[in-house]
Amino acid sequence: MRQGRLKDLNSRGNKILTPLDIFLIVCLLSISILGALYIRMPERESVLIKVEGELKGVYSLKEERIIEVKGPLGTTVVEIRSGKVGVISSPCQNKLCLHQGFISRGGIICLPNRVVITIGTRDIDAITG
Amino acid sequence: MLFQLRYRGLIYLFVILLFSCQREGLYRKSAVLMDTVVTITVVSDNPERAEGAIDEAFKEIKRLEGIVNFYSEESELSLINRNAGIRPIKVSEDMLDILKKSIEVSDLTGGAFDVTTGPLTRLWDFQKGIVPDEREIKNALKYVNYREIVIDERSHTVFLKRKGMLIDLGGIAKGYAADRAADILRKSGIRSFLIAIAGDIRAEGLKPDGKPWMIGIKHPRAEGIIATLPLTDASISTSGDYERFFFINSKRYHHILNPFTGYPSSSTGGVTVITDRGYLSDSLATAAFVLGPEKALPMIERLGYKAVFITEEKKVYEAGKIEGLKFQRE
Repeated sequence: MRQGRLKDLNSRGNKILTPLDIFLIVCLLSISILGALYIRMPERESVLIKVEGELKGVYSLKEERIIEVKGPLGTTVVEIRSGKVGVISSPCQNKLCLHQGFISRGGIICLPNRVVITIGTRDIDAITG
Repeated sequence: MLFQLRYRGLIYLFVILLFSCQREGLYRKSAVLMDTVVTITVVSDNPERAEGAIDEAFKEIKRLEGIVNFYSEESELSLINRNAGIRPIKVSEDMLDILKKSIEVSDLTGGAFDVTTGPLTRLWDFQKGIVPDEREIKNALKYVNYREIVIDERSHTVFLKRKGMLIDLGGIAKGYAADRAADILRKSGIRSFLIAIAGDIRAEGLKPDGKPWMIGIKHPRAEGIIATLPLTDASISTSGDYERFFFINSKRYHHILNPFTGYPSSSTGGVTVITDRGYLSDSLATAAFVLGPEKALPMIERLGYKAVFITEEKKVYEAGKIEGLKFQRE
């Protein structure tokens, strides 16, 4: 019995990587990659809306809402839905902002109405005043 | 047998790694309390624990609101006010504490912060927008004097010496409540959090990304913010002439009343104060706005705190160096 165990151990020791080791390595790698992705998440959480360069509001990408933004041409209607932000109505002529659809990163610019919507380039957690 | 042992060992290791990788997240919840929006954000690795802690903190703020509410007949504060000049009232530990702290700030500011401005608060109606009669203001001023609050710590009582006196804790209660809510979160094991009772904010610890909390200072004359600053382990409050006000002949009448004149303070814009306690930031911001930058800033500096005045013309005056204060590009 004892001899059997010794033999077993020797034969296993010769293998450098067992399938189980590879499984473990793959798991660890995927965990660390996922972890790194998750850690970047909070920076993209907030939606910043600026009109003519001035910050008008900061909203969470997680809270669904409709925001009316007043620009020089009229009201641009912005919607936050399912972690994405988009323009649903705009007084501009070309409607380029509407055609951009809903985004979860980057930004939407409506030049005619001077509205800039960006996602989390700089996040503000609270406002005093 | 050995293979099985090793296999099991690896599974255990994997499970342990999986749990240790559970990411710390930001959890945020808002409620309407103290006639304003209260938002609490916490860092936790467990959503249930985060929500439980936030709810406990909300409960504490609601409890304090029931004690210090100037407008509710049922509050402990109203009981004291109704019995002004009549008899001392036995009060809670909370009331005793907040009143002692109020008097401490009144002493620090030479009376620029004074919780006995209740008769003035009653007189000025910022919704209707009418300037009270000068005689009425003069008369109300007779009852404004924090030195006439009598606290007896042994019998746990508070007494207002003269009938007509009224305590209004509006300039300190929100900051004080933020301190108490912070105590609750700490007791629940939360180390990093942000409590915002309207503009009275308490920040502790860091966000999951290792950065401090980012605070925006509201623009005194426009929508949006005028500046940002990072904050951790500190309290910040702002007092300004843009919260509640009305215009008569293009003169702005705002809600920060000068306890010496009975009229709105002559400062313009807003002042933001950073200290180590919420009640201090809240009350010192009020006092600083009453005094104006020339008198207030040396006082704040002497106390070892920080402040920034941003006037109507966007002139900026600072007391102490506020690390990382950045103004928005126009």
